[in-house]
Amino acid sequence: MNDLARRWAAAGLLLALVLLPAVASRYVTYLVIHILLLALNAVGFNLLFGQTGLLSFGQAGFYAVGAYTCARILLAWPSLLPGVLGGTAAAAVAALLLGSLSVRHTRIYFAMLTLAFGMMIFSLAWKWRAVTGGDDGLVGIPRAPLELFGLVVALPTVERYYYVVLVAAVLAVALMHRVVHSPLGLALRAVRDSEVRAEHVGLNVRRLRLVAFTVAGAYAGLAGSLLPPLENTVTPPIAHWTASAEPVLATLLGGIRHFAGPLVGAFVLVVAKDVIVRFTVHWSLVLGAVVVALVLGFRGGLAGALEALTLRGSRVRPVSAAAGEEAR
Amino acid sequence: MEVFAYQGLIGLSSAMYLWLVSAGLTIIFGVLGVLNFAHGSLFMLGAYLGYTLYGLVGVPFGLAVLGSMAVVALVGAGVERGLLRPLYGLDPSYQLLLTFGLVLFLDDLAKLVWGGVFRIPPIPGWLQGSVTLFGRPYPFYNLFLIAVGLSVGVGLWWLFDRTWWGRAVRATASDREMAAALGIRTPTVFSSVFMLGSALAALGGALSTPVRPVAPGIGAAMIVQAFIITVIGGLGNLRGAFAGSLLVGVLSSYGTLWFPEFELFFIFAIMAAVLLVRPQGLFAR
Amino acid sequence: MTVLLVARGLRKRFGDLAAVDGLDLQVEEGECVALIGPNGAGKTTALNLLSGHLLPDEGHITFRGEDITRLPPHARVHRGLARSFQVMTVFPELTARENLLVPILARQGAARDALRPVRAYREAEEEANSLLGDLGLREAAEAPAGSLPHGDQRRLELGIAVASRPRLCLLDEPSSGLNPLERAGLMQLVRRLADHRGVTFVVVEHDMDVVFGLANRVVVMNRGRVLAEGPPEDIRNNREVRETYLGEEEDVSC
Repeated sequence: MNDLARRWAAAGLLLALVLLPAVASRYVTYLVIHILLLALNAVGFNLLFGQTGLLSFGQAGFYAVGAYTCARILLAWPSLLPGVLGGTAAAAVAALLLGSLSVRHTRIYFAMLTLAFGMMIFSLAWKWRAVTGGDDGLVGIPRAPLELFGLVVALPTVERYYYVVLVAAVLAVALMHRVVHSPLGLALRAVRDSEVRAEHVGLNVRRLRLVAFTVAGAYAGLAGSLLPPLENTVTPPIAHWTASAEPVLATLLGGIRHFAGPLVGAFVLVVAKDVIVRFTVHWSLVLGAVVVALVLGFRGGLAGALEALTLRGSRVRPVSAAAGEEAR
Repeated sequence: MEVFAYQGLIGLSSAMYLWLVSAGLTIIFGVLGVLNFAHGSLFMLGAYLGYTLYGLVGVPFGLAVLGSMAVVALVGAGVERGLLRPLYGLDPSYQLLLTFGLVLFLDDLAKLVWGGVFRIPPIPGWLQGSVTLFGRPYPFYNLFLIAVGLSVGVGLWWLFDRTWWGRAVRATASDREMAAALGIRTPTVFSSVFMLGSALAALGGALSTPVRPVAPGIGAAMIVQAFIITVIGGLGNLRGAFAGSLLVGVLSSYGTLWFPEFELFFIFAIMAAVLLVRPQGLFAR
Repeated sequence: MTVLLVARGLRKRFGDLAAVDGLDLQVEEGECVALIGPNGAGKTTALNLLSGHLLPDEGHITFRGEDITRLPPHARVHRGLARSFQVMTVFPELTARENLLVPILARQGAARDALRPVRAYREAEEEANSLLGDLGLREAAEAPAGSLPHGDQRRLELGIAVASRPRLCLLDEPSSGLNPLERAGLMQLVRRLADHRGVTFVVVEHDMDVVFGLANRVVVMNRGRVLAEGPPEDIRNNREVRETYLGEEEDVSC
């Protein structure tokens, strides 16, 4: 798809999104909000995975930090912007702290740590009754009005809230587009392609990974912060590792090497889940099977971008040497 | 003081489950270079199978445990041969994603096949009773667990140090191509190692049946703890896995006593501290 | 002549094996030093210690007067010490031009810029294009580096090292896997880069043609330390060196 076609497509998509509430049912609007939230989460995840080569199974942890922080802010100070910004900031700080402990390690170890830390946040959400409400979670969270420059915009309907989410999502995705095409993005891709070479051309690999991890956490946190005003409740399952699988799968489905991949994947995943969940409660079963099938099916080259992963994978190295290198 | 010692002993026996799972995880990683996210699910399968055989069908406990180990070892062989083998030599992200998908699949499959939580069947007659230690009754079953754990430790040492198979495995682990050049059938080594690791996890699960509820979430809890133990003990290090299991088991036990609400978080905090102070693990060389 | 690099008493052990065992080395500006020795002599380990890929157990390294013994590799690059690798380490999915842009932008401190597009960095692009020209890779500029033929990747690898504008560049068997024609071309390239860009080179090599054609000083390593050093002619006639190389004769051309 050449540049011009891409721009027309993006413009068309934007127009469709803007017009959506006018033409679609409330339920569809609600569903699209969830698509946008997952898209944010996945786009952040892909900065880490597709761009930097780090696989994280802990995005749900930062999503939850964003959600719970926003919820607590809104319960004390019912104004949307502080809630969302506070949630995003909290998630970014959490990612910075946990990331600094994790990025110095090899990629396998790193993946393990992200899962462990994600579950740590889950266990906090589950046990810390005083702050998180424990397994009951937090309820009665208001869909607080948007207060900006003296203007107060109430958001009584899902449709109105949809526009807030849309604006946030468009801005965030546009920002990510900038980042990906910036020198920082190029540096991250260099780190992904060859960590050793990157180190030897003057790139501080550890710091770059931490930046990517923090940004990914911030995006997950932003998505999470936009959840409480929509649902009016926040409960621990959003922090569980099974929730971490969603941005991962969305990105795999849509394509790791294309910027729009996570966006497409988010759409496919939310819609598919909506359909499948009507027939069976065993969504994880399907999710897991699809992940396994995708990974094994990479040979055929699914969704365009996956060929690139195969290209890298086809440089066969003895795993013992790689494991030795990885274990350094 | 006595409370302290007694609680430590309780922790010691619960550490044995952790040790069995961590041992399997460590062996698989050390030889195949695969971090098996689904290892906790194998523990869970072992528990479900153990419960089905012993609690539902009425098979004698020992046979039920062995049966569970055998079935899960076969499952492990299937996973290694069918799912993981195509991924050797590729970017590690593939195997991480695959085993992660496998967890989602297996954990939900268990829910589908067996439903929810189960009653705990009675402890087999020959393992009932208790011993008085530090002024309290200490279940004989716990001593049994510790005995099993120690035997496994000794057994593994003997296996890797004294047998031909063990030497073949260590050769493959350190230099795959050289081992193959020497005539060692590396695919067979890989399968057998994965089966051993799976069987160990199943052993842990089956042994937990008479004393702990069998539920879908136990696999997830186990793998997270196994990961923490790996951080503390060092990746691919059996001795470290053992020491780490003891540490986490005993500390968790004290955690339940002192910070009942934050017991799990306490262990995570220790993991974070180790990462800060000695990132390669307390027992890494 | 300014002394660029001083390494004293370097030791590095892997288990029981002392790969580098008391290495002393000094490199002056403008030199082209060839580091040779039989397999297992410790040449690559030596380069790894000098570039920061490994940390020594003992000894120290001084670069332009500063102790860099424990500095991480990226910090050494910013001080003017770069290297190329023997095993292919171009950035396979980046284009050839991007492969050169990365070190150039890193050198300018631009890697932190997350908001301006890479295209906006015109000077960097021009520099990358100019270097591509020197490397003879102008046509391959847009191709993913991993898809280039081996010879081109070797040239690109050299280019990446030089793009950091180092004062001292360590090359680890830059011509490995190349046919004689390609090898000659690569060596001309090194010569050109040394002359035009004022880069001092330390080259680890097996091919004696390359060594004698390129270097003005040869350092012979064996068993982790320096066996002999001097001008190429002296080394060629050195008996100890010849004995060490018995069995490695296939690389020595007459």
